[in-house]
Amino acid sequence: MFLWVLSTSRWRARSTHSPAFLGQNGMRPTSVDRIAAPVLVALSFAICWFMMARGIGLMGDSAWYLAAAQRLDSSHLIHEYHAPLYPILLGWLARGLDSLGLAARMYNAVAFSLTTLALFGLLRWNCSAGPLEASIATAFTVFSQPLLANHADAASESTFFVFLMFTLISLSRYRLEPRSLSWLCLAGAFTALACVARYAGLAVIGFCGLAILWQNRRCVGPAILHTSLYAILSLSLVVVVAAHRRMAG
Amino acid sequence: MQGVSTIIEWAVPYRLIAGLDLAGRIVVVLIGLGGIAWAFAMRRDRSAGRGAGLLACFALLYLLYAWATVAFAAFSVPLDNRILGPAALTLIPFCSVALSASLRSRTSPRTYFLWAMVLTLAFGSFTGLRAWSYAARVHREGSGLRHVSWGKSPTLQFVRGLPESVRLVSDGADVLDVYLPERKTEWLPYKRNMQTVRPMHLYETHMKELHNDAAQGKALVVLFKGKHASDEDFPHYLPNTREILSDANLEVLQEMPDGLILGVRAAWPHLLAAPRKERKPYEHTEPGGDRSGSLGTQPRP
Repeated sequence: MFLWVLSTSRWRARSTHSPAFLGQNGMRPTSVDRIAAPVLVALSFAICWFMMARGIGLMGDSAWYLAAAQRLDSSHLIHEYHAPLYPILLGWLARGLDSLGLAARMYNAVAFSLTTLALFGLLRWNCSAGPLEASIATAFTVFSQPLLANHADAASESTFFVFLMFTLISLSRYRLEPRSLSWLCLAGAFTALACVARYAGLAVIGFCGLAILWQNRRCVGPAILHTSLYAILSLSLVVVVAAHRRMAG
Repeated sequence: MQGVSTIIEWAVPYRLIAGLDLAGRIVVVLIGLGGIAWAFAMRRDRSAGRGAGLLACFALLYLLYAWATVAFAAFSVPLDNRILGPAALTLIPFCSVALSASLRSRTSPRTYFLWAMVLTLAFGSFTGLRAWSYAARVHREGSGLRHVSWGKSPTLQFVRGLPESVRLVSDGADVLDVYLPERKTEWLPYKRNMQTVRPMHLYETHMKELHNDAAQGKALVVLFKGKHASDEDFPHYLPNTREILSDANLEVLQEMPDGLILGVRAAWPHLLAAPRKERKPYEHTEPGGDRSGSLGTQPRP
């Protein structure tokens, strides 16, 4: 769905009206983009895979995540305070690959690559950065110790980062096209997923809600309507999980 | 204030940080981020880097959220790279794009190119080397509880040899869960509530039960130096070694290079006879200690 919206005609039409100062750095992918994006993605995957040569790293919560992914038992997932999305996705991947250890490594490497690609796209097409600027800024960010440390262990951070980046992309597109409800709904959907990946996603809801209100500050009606729609969408999964837990006692 | 140290480590070499006290670190972070934000706000070409402000706003709001969560609710959570990861993911690219946009709009193309080259080489070589060094170390030694030193831990080897009926109470129940998943393990009784810091009413009762079980040979306390190297390293909600010894009236039965076994001596006479030479030599490196100091045991916001 996200890819479909990215490829809509409106996006393409907009690309021909990029700001004049951008020149060759407009919305259309340049040759630098076509080289930099795959190189960054491949490097991310390779470094993450190399880093986990001794197997996926383990921290305090990892034992629970891995056990939950192995069982994929909804009652087990619901009864704990951990956010459930990471073990669910990992469990599905583990069933496909038939090995939990391999799946956990693969999951982190793919998530790291997706974060890299999303950050490059965000900088390139939503922050008016040129292709080289975006490539260097992405490389500085993802090939840094804090980001690598967050992708070395079996933990939910990798999932959260991916959905955080997708949320920021959707929100940036919404800011450029304030009447586009599809970007708003996408932002809400990605935030909802980020919230069930890590409960720190609640900070994303607050931020995006404020950004939507600020965007529509001159029109009260759309401001309330859009913020409410976003809030309902983004809180939906957390509410479902919380209600399920409450009903389960 | 650990958050300030975490943030400064994203952009400043360790050797320079080591010479700064807390106030100095706060000043460096404020001047650095404030300077970049000011330069970005004062850029002549307003369309350069347009949209990057969203990243900075998110990073600031997230930092505020993380700080408030830790200050008012989760006191034991360290503001390390795990907690501040989302801020790093947005603040570092903002700084890069903001610096570039400011330089580009204020200087000639040639000067901009030179500055961009110098900054990229300087920052890239520093962060790149640090990242590569980190990745190579994790590749070589493993990460967190997967660190090679845990695999060689004499304390874990010792615990493996204990009867399965023995209840293991530990400051590293997660370590035991990972390496001895078949064993039933428990955390040490909490002396304070993790969030409210209020004393736990049942602490003394639990300590008495622990003593009774230990006296009957049904329980042992296992402490790992890799989790808490000294009494000062224990989090506020767990009793430290001295408190366990006094509150549960236990004794040190075995002292390993990387841990302690506590219990009641009369119930475990054979433990004292265990020959230490059977254990492999242990190269002490603090498992997980190089990873932002994260104990990885506390719930995160």
